[in-house]
Amino acid sequence: MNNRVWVLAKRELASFFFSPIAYVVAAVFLAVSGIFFAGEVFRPGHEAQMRDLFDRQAFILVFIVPMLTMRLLAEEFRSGTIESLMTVNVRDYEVIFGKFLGTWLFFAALLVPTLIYAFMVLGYSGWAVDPGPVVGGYLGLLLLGGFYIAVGTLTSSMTRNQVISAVLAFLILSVFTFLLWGVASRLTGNWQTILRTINVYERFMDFSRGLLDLRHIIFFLSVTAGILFVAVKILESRRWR
Amino acid sequence: MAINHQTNQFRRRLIFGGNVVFSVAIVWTIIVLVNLATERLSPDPTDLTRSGQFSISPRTVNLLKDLPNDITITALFRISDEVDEATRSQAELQKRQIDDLLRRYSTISGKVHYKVLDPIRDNAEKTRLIQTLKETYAGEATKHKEVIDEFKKLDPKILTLMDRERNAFKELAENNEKVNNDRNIVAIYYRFTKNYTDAKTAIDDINELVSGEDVPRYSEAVAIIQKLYENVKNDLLAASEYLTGEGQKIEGLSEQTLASFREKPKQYAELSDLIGKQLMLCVDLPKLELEDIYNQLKQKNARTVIVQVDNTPKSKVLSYSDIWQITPSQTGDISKVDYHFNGEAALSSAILALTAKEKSAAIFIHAGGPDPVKPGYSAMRVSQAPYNALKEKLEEANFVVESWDLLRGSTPPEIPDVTRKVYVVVPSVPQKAQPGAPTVGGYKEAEIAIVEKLITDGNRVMFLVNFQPAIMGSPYPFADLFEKKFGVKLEAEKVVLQGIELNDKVTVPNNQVAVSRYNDHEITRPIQSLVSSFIWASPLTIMETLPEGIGVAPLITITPEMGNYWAENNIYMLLQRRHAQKDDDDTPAPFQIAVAVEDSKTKNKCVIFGNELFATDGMANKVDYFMTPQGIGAQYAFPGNLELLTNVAFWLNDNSNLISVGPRKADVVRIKDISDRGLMTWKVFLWGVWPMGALVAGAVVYLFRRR
Repeated sequence: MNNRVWVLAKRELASFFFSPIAYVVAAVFLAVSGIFFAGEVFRPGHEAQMRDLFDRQAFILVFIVPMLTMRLLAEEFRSGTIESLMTVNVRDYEVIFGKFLGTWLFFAALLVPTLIYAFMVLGYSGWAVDPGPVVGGYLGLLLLGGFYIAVGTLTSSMTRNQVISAVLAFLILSVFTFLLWGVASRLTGNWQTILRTINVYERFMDFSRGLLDLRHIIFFLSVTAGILFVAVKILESRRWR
Repeated sequence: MAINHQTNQFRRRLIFGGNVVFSVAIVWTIIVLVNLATERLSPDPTDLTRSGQFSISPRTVNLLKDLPNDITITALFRISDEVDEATRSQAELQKRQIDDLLRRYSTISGKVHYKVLDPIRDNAEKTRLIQTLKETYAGEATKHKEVIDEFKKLDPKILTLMDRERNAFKELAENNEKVNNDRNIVAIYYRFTKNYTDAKTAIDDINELVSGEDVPRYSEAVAIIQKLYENVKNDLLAASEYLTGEGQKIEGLSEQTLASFREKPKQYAELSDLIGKQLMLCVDLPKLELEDIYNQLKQKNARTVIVQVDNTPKSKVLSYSDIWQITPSQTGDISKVDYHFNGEAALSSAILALTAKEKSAAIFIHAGGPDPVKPGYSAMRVSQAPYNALKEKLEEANFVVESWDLLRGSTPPEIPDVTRKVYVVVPSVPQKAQPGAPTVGGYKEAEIAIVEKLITDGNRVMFLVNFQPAIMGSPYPFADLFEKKFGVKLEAEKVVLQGIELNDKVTVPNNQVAVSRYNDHEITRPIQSLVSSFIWASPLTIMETLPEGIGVAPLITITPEMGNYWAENNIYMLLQRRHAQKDDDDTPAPFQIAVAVEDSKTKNKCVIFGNELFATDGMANKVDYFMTPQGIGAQYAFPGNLELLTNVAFWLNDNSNLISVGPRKADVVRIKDISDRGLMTWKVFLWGVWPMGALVAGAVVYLFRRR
C-alpha cells in the first residue's frame, strides 16, 4: 500500500481514538445494538442466530457513520488545515483514501465489542450456533460500513459545515438503505428489480443470512471506489474553482 | 481586463468542470458495466450455513434462468398478536424462510418479482390483488355457468319426479302393511324425499354462492349440483333394480302394483339419462383457481403463496401445508411438532407447471376394467379412480394425464401440444361380469404385443406389477418380457414378507415394506429422507447375464440388514392360515422391489416396480393424524410414494433436472432457558455496563492525554 495513504490512515485512526466524540458514538452504537440484541435476539426459545441483530445494525449505522465521517474533511476545510495538508507532498486521492481507510479501521474496531453478542448466543445455545451466517454478517457489515463511510467522506468533502455533511450523508444513506428497500417491497415488475439491485440493505441481508455472493462483494467494492473517486474529484476542484 | 479575467475564470471552470464530469461519467460507466457483467457471469453464491439452508437445487436454478415470462409471487403471511411466545417465534422463523426463498429466487432471475404481505395490515393491497385476479380469470367459469344454467332447467324435472314418486310410495305404504314394513321401500321413500328437499333448496344455495361474495363460487355451486345429480341417479338406479327384482317378491301386492313397479325404470330412464349427461360434464370441470385463491385470501391468518405469470391468466396457489410439512417431533415429545420446509419443491413445481414450454403426457395403460385415472359412472354408483392421487401429483408436475384401454384401441390417445410421453402399465385383472360368464379384460397376447411394440419403438414405460400367484388366476403377463428385454426376473407369484418375532417361537408375517433408504440413483437421491411403503410387493432379481446394451440399476433393494425379509412362495398357507415361514423354496434377501433399466444403444428407459398398490390412493394418499399443540395435525403416512413415482416420470422423460427436491428438515438451534434474573442481569450489562465501558475508555484516554 502507498506509504503516504497508510500514514494518513494511521493519523486518522489515532485522531479517532483521541477524540471524545468517537467514544460517545461507540457508546451509543453499543447501547442501541444492545437494546435490539436483548429485545429481539437474546430471548429464551428464540432461534440462536445473529442475523436479526446484523439487520438492525445496518439501520443503526445509517445514523452512526455520518457522525464519524462528518469531520473528516469538513473540519479540515473549516479550520484551514487542509491548506497545510495540500502543501506537503501528498496527492488528493491519498488524502481521501487515507482518511477513508482510517475511518474504516476505526469502524472495524467499533465492531469488535459486538463480538460479545456472538459469544453470548454461542454460550446459551450449547455452542451449536452455525458460524457461517455470523462470519458472513461481519463481512457484510465491513463492506456495508465501507460504503457508508465512502458516502460520508464524499459529503464531508462537499462542505465545511460538519452538521450539513452529517445530514447530507444521513439523507443519502437513508435513500439507499430505507427508502429503496421500502419502495421496492411495494412494487413489482422491472422497477422492483432495479430498485432491489441498487438497494444496499437488500444486498447486505444476504451476508447476514450466510450467503456469500460475489455480485454483492463486487457491488460494494466498486460502488465504494466510485464514490471515493467522486470525492477525490471534489477535493481536486478546490484547485481550479 | 475585469471582463477578460471573469471570462478566463469561467472558461477554466468550464474546462476543468467538464473534465471532472467526463471522468466521473467514465468511471461510473465502468462500474455499472462491471456490475452488469458480474450479475450475468457470477457463480452461484456460496452458502455458508452448515445445513445448506440457502442452497438452491440445480433444478430450480435451471428453471429460473430459463423463465419465458416475468413472474410475480405474492406471499401472504400474518402473525397473529394473540399467540404465545413460542408460536410467534416459530411463525417469525417461517416467515423468514419464505421471505429468504423468494429473495433467492429473485436474485437468481430478474424475472421473478415478489411481495410479502400481511393480509390484514395490507388490506388495500389484498383488495387490489383480488381485483387483478378477477380480471385475469374472467373467462374461467364459462363451462361452470353452462352447467348451472342446465341445472336450472333440470331441477324442476327432478322436483316433479321425486315428489310424485315419494307420494306414490307413501300412498302405497299407507294402504299396504307389507309395503309399509318393507325396509327397502321405506329407504326409497326416504331417499326420494331427501332428494326432493335438496333439489328444492339447491337453487337458493347456488344463487347465494354465485352472487353472495366478492368472488362468485361457481365450483362450489357445481359441487352441490354434482352431489345432487349423483344422489338422484344412484337412487333411481337402486330403486329400479329393487322394484324389478326383490320388490316383485313383496307379498300381498296386486298384479297392477307389481306391473307398475316393473314400469318404473322406464319412467326414470329419461331423467336418469339427462342427469348422466350432465354428470359427465361436471366431472370434467376443473376446480376454479380463482375460488381457490379467494378461499385462501379470506382466511384471517392466511399463510399462502400466490404465483402469477405476468400478463397471462395463469396462477397457482400454494397453501401452508404445501410449504411446511408438519410431522410429529422426532424427540418423542407429543406436545411438539417438526416443521419441514418444502418451499423450494412447492414453489418450483408451481412455476414449472405455469411456465413450462413443453408439455408431457403420462398415459396409463390398462386392458379393460375400471379406468385407472378417471372416476366411473357406469355402474350403480360413482367409482373413484384408483390412481387419482398419482394423477393429481403428475398434473402438478406439468404432465397431462390420460388413460388408454388396450381393449378399446390399439393406438395411444391423441393428446395435443404434448412433446413427450411416458406410459404407465397398470395391472388389469380379468373379471367376470357374472358367475359363469366368460372373463373380460386382462392383458392377453394382443395387448402384450402392443406393449412390447411400445418398448421396441423406444417409448418410455413404467410397469406397476401386482402380486399374482397362480392360485389366484393367470400369471403376471409381462414377466417373460422383463426377462427377455431387460434381464429382470420377476417372481409375481411370491410376496415380500417381514417376519416379526413376537417371542422365541412365534413369528408373525408382515406384508408391508417400509423404505427410508434407497439405492443411490438420480431418481431416488433427492428423497432419501422420505418414507415410502409397499404392500404385497413381489421380488425382482437382476439376472447375471443381461441382454446386449442393457444396464439395470436397483432403486430399492431389500437387504438382510433391513430386517428379517424374504419373498414367500407358499401363498396358500399365507392366505388361508395367515402363516408363513422362511424356507428353502422362498427367495431370501437381498432382492429388489424396484429397478431402472437403460439401453445404452437405443437410449431407451424403463422402470419396473414389483408393486402396484403403493401407487394407488389407499397407500399414496394415506393420511396419519396426530396431536399438536394447536390441535389435530395431519401428515401423509408415506410421503415418499408419490415423490418416487413423479421422479420416475421425470427420469423416463429425460427431465432429470426437474426431479424434485425433498423437504428440508428444520435444523434450528434455539437459545436455552435463562432465568428471569439472569436475563435482567444481561440486559443491565448490555444496555448499561458495556456501552459505559466505551465512555470510560474515552475518559481514560482523555485523562491520559491531558497528563
